[in-house]
Amino acid sequence: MRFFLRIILVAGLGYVAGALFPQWSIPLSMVGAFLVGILFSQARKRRVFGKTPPPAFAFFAGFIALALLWGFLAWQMDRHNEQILGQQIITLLSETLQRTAPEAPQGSQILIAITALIGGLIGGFSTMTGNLLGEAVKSDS
Amino acid sequence: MRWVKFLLSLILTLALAGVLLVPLSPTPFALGSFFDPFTGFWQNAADISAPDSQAENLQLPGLQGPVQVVFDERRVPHIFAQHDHDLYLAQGYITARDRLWQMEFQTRASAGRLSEILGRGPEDAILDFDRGKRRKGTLWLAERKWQEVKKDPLTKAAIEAYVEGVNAYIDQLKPKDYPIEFKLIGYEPEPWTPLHSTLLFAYLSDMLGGRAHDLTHTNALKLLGRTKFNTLFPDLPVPERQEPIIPKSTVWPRAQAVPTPPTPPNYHPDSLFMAYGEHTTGGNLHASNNWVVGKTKSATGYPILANDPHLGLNMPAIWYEAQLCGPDHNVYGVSLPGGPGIIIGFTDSVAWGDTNGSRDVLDYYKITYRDSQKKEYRYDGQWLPTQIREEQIKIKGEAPMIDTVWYTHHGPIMYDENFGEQPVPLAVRWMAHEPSNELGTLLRFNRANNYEEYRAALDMFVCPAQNFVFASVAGDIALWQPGHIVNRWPEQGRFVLDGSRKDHSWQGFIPVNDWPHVLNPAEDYITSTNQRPTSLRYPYYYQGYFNFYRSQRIAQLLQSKDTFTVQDMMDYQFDDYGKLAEDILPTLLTNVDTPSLSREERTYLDLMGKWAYQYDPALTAPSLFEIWWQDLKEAVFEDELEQGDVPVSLIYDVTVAQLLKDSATLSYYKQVNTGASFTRKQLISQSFQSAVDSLKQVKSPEWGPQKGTTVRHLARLSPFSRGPLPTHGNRDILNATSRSSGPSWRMVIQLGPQVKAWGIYPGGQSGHPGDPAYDPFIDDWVKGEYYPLHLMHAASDTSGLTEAITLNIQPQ
Repeated sequence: MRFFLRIILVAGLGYVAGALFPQWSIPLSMVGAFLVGILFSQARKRRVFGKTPPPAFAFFAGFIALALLWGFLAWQMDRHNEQILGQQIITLLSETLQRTAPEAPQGSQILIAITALIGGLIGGFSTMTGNLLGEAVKSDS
Repeated sequence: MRWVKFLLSLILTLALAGVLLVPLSPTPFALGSFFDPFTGFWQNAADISAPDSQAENLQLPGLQGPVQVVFDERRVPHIFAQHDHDLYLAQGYITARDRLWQMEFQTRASAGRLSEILGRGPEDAILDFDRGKRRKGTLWLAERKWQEVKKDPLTKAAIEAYVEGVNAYIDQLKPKDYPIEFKLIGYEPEPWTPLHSTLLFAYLSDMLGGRAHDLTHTNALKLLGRTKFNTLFPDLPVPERQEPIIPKSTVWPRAQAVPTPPTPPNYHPDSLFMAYGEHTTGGNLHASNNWVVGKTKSATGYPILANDPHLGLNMPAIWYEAQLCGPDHNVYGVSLPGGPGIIIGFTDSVAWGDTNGSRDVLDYYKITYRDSQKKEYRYDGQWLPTQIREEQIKIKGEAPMIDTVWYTHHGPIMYDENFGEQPVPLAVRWMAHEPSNELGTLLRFNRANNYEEYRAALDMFVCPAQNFVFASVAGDIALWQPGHIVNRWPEQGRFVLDGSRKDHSWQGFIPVNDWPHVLNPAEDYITSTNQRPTSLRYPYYYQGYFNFYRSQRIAQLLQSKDTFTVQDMMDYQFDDYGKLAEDILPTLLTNVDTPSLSREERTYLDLMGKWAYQYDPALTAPSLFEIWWQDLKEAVFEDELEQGDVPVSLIYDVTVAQLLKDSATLSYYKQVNTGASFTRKQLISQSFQSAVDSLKQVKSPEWGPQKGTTVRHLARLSPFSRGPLPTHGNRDILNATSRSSGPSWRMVIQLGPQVKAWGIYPGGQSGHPGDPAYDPFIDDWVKGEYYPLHLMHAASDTSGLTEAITLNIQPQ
């Protein structure tokens, strides 16, 4: 339950950050995810297998949150654009990295996947860092 | 322990942020920001899911009244305003909305500021490009141009309003909405100024009149000696076959208004080899066609005017279609993103078109310094002071370079010990350096109602020389070639000149009234395809880079029947008949040593024999001919021309063809290096066989794939380029589509009680690759199709359009 709550909050904050301050989307999303990580690190009652849940839960919550947010937005923008730009960007990246163009036109899935991955990493690491801070502070007090 | 875990996680997270937010090789952009759906490339994916609303509203500062812009089915803006100021302001805004990056990039290139955003480039390629531009003085001349342009109230007001409009767009632009090239290259748009607009005209002058064969001709002369040079590079090739622009029957006053200056005594073109020369192709690089038929030759009884300017094929397209309807004029045509007005187009009463005059307007002068201080140089027996201009060239990621350029009264010293590896310092005297206001002429064309008003607009047009064909609904047809003509002594400007001699300088200009021109000729048609403008009756000497074969073809077509329709004009613009092939192939075929050919070679010979000189993309014959012709020219002339290992001029095809036809024995058939002697027949046969050999090795020998026409993105980002395209034609053919240049606009205007017009260009109105309006015209252009052009008379008059979206702009 708290897991899903974390996801919703991180995603929500990420969306608000991006919509209001697009140029600061990444730093603000990181801060937002970080705060959610701290907030949900009060491991009072949660006992999984009798131990405090590992920070991996925080990582996954954050990862899924921003991966879904970014991935969904990218997917929707791509669909509304009928993949016009997506195709060209794939070719561009393919040429920059490998010096060759992709063999056949591909759907934009790979681009959406990369977008989701990047978002996910941002969300995951930030949330986990917040979680670990909360755990570290709490264990001192 | 928990703190350690936290710190580790924190470090990893910050490292991730670093990787994502800082640009890292090989990409010039930050990975995270680029993929971020809120700021990155996804924002440039135009949303086409929802149907466009029929009306939009906008407020802009600086307007004096309301403006309506109606976008038609091809996203061409039809702008209606009650004040000229508002008209040009809106034009600036709308053009920026569609083409900002292109405007920015082109003016940067013209100003020699590409290193600022792209770095110095592989082997300093980009830095050298920038230095070349600065040293040629494009930025300097653009600055002077604005000072001159400001003196004309019409042009000044138009540019200032346009600048306001562009800045109104830039001001409201958020980084997430920057055109994708800004994001990819990693920089931001800067505010637009009048200098940007004059830089645009400097860009054009450079493209159309910024080259000269002086250096390569000087080398060729030294290599070959006078006699051979005159044979291979005659000042006037095949004089009896020329079809000049101004009909041969035109009588010029026998007395010149200004006498031709005498040839200087002891004139010997420089004895040193030049290290670097800009090649002009055999012919000229940027070609174009225009023609007009008058009342008696038009099927409708009203003039029909056709124009297709040939320029480099780029994305976004160099042209942007628009209609401008102000309080006292209404004009439709193509505009140049970055400057106000319509450059080529029509109104209800007149139409005009443009081709390059291709006259030599740039000369090199050898400079003799007094000493190594370079503070003074020799001129007319005295020492004159040089001036210094420090060109600061910013380089991405490095400290700026200061390139010091010395100036003389001739112009900037483009090549010296710091640049260009020439044996002597060379200053460049370029007509484009004269303060002038070409835009003033064009803005007046926009407002012209008749021939007199067209004529009155011409005097301010200085550089580069252009052929403006004109027609009015009253029935006048005309062509003037405005642009200052240097009053040259014979051959002045073909070679490097001596900058210390007064008699080598430009001695003055030919009077405006003696510019090549014609009004209502007896033939009732006029054409210009970059050929020599006049017959030998013209009393003044001039030289240039004139075309030959296209003028032959269009003359033939316009003499082939009595009346012409719009469809004829379109067919002629798309004509892919090769006059060079017609000229020389029969000679080549009779000289191939058939018995010595293999069976396969004979089938190829057969193919050539059956070919009707059509440069059709599906045929193999044109590919074979082109390779054969190239191989033959090399076999005959290369040994002579490559002797000194210095750049030399390219020989015009018409000259080569004439030489080969005329003579079975030429000294060129003897190879200089080996002394081996060949007959014409042997050279022709051998080159045929080597051509067949080359052709057999390519996967797709058809002309389309061989030519590989590509419309290339300005920053060479290949996914944003288009091609290869299966186009007809070639250089020197009416449909002059080659690998990277071609008809950048095709237009046919039928004047009459209701003007009708058709046009097309290879591209799209939008400069945004993520927008479907980026490239929709390309396939139709390849096929030779045209779109109807709508000259609306009111914003509400949308009956002729298949789609209309109105943008209402209110003053803020």
